[in-house]
Amino acid sequence: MSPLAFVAALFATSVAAGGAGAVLGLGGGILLIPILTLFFGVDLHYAMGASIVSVIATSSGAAAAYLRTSLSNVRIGLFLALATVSGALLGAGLAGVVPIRVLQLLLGLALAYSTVTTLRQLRVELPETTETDPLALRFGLEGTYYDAALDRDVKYRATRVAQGFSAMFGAGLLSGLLGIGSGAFKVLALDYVMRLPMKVSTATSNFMIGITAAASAAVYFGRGDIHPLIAAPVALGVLLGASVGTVLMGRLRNTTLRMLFLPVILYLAVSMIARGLGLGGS
Amino acid sequence: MLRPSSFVSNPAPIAADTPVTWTGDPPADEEARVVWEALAGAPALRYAVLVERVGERLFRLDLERFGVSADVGFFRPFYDAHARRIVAALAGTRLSLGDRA
Repeated sequence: MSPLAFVAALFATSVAAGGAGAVLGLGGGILLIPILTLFFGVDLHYAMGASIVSVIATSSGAAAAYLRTSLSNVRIGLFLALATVSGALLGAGLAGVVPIRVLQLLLGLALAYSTVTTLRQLRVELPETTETDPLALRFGLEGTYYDAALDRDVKYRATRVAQGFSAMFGAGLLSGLLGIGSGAFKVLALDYVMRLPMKVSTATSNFMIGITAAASAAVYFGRGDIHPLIAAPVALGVLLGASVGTVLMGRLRNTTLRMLFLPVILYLAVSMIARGLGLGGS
Repeated sequence: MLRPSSFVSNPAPIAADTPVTWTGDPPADEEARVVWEALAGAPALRYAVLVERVGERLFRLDLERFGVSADVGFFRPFYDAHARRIVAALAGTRLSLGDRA
């Protein structure tokens, strides 16, 4: 394959990954790393570097659209970004100390756990919020959005803020360690821990992913892991895909979204555990 | 340069004044050839000079292939880092590092 054809193939693949990433709130990066390494033969470090740049592109593209529809809650996102950015910086610092296979195994197990919780909630269109968290009241972590599928305004308020903040720190830590946006964990924290509606969770996650990834990207850039001719087509492709994915997301019901989300998490969990056990390459 | 197949991800630090010489045959693979060309005509180069030359050649190669899209100064550190990784991968096989050089 000629270099130009290679770049074109990277771009086309990134469009698809960006679309999926925007719909699922994953950021696309975690999809791209295995694709780039397994199917394109790109070194893992450069794949991670391109991934982290693409994650910023996805988040920027999708978040802008979500902000117009009030799906992203900027207040909640910025509040929790304190945790994710701190975690990302710490994670990047620890990356050279903790064996990567241990991290992959932990990530796989955690993703498997999130699959179980997603299965339990498969029929829940909107979370039932009965608790009132004083921290949510104090910081005004609440909002309203119009749900086109339900044809009504949906009001919501975050619960279990301290636990959600801790979970977000962990998500940021994984972002720094593995070069991913860790959108799955952000959605998990927002949806399952803080009991926000799934659409708000995915939209706010998309908004936060870019902020977290920017912190991690500085470390990758400093190490020389960001190859311009891999990162550029990937970032542009993902940006285009994210725009299409965002349009699709507004037309899907939350249960449909979760059904789409489930196999992705399952795939990631199995592949991560396999890698952690040394069964699926490094 | 897009699909590096043999380099050391996190090479151990090498002293900047370490002499480096080419010891093997002229290479067929592109990245090793860039190193070989950088050393061509010079009996030994200091490690820092070699890395700088290889980084510059890698950058020029991408610039020739992709034009202005590769000419973003922000990404320039990548090429030096990549050069260090390639040199580390060749050390001990095609490159000799140290006093014997």
